[in-house]
Amino acid sequence: MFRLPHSFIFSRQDSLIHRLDIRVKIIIFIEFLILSLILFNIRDQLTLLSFLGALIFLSKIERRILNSLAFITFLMAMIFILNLIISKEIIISLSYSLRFLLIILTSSSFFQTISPDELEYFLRLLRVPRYLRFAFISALRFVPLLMLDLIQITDSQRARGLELDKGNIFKRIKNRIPILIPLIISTINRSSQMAEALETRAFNSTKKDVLCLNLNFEKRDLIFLFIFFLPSLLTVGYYYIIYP
Amino acid sequence: MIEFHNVSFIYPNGFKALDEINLKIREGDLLALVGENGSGKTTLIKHLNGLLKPTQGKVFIFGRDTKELTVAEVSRYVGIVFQNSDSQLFSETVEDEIAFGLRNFGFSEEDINLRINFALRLFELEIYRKKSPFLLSGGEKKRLCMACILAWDPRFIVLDEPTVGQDFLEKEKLIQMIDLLRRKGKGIVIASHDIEFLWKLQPKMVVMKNGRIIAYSSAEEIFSNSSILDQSNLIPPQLVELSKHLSTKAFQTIEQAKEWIKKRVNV
Repeated sequence: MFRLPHSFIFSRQDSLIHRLDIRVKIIIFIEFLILSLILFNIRDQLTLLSFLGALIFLSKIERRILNSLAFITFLMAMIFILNLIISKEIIISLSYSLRFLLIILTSSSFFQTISPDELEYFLRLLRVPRYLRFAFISALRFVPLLMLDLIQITDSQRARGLELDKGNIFKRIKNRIPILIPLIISTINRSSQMAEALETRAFNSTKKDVLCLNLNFEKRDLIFLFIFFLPSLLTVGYYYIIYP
Repeated sequence: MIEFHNVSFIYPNGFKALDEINLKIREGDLLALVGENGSGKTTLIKHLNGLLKPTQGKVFIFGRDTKELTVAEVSRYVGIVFQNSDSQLFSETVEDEIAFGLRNFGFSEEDINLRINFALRLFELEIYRKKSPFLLSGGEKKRLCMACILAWDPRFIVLDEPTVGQDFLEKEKLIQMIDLLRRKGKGIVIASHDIEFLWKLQPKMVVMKNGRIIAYSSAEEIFSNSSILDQSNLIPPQLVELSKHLSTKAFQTIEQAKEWIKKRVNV
């Protein structure tokens, strides 16, 4: 359970994809997301999945993805069963499950390869207001700390004899209360400390927005942009040129 | 007795936190774990009550392998007080906080009341009985966390950085408390960077570096061994430094140092 959020947190790696220009990463992400949503043929979806697999391996994030795969597979199975009950079509149900997998893997690889600074740049491109951008990026930076807190609190309560997986579903939910309350309190304390620390360093005293990000579009970026644009070219070529 | 047999532990990210640890801790022992941050102290502590299970080797608690026991079963014998008090307090009142562990271990309500009274008295928290734990000061919260653990009377007590955020008086009280527990025959393990505090307790010391035990001896021997001090980046307590400058045996207390100086200068 604790491993799923790791799939959506920036993973600091020295990989080809991590080194790409932020604009290239954004284009690839938007392209993969659109294709994930519009492709409905299983063959096309599997082609896109193979490109996505290559992207994940080049990003060196396959371990984290594999760790969360059990939960994703469970959700895929749920989608498949529900669709099968409603549509009674195996292929359609399978296609919906694959669509879910593609969306999750695309978002996961995007968030794992894009640093919070780059993400802020992306939000700026989308013209998200400054205060909302700051709140979102701060929340994102807090996630790994919250995960550490969660582990620490769980350890403390287990050391006091708390057995999380004992009893029926209601008892198990109740068993989470001694973990949730300290977690909420420590989060409130941490955010208030952060606000004080920022204020003491004159945060928001100027209206000028500063970008601390170097934007370098190199030859390597162009090559990767072309390679990962192949799924779109193939789709357009197949459906609009060969079989219009 | 707690026994570590060739224990190694590797975290899922591949970091080897413990490397071939062999250790025996008996009831009545007072053991201090020292070493730099990241040397493996907290990982070792988490093996004491089965929160972590060894990747290689075995940990035995009274002859039983921790891999075959749940954390709750081991915690009945080994109580751990973690560094951060805020990470465990959640109840509405101080007495409910103490009762939480006791209820988990299945004590009767009558027994729970007796134990709450005992723990509150022992840690001078009686006046806060009906108060919210979140309204206590840092030192009081720490004492409450210790009361929560001692209430079920475990045979081993593990203290992770007990002096963090404690003022001088609170540290002195802590020393008295540890002395009392030692006299009662409890096995005590302390992980701490506070060398002055440890020196007052005169424990057996386990020095850790990169997941290995590089020395296991009395505090006096550890602090007189410059090679170990260099390897582990430990700084000797002031009394040891003073005795070195005076070329004499290490003073254990300020009184000893005073006596020695008085004799030499004929005051």
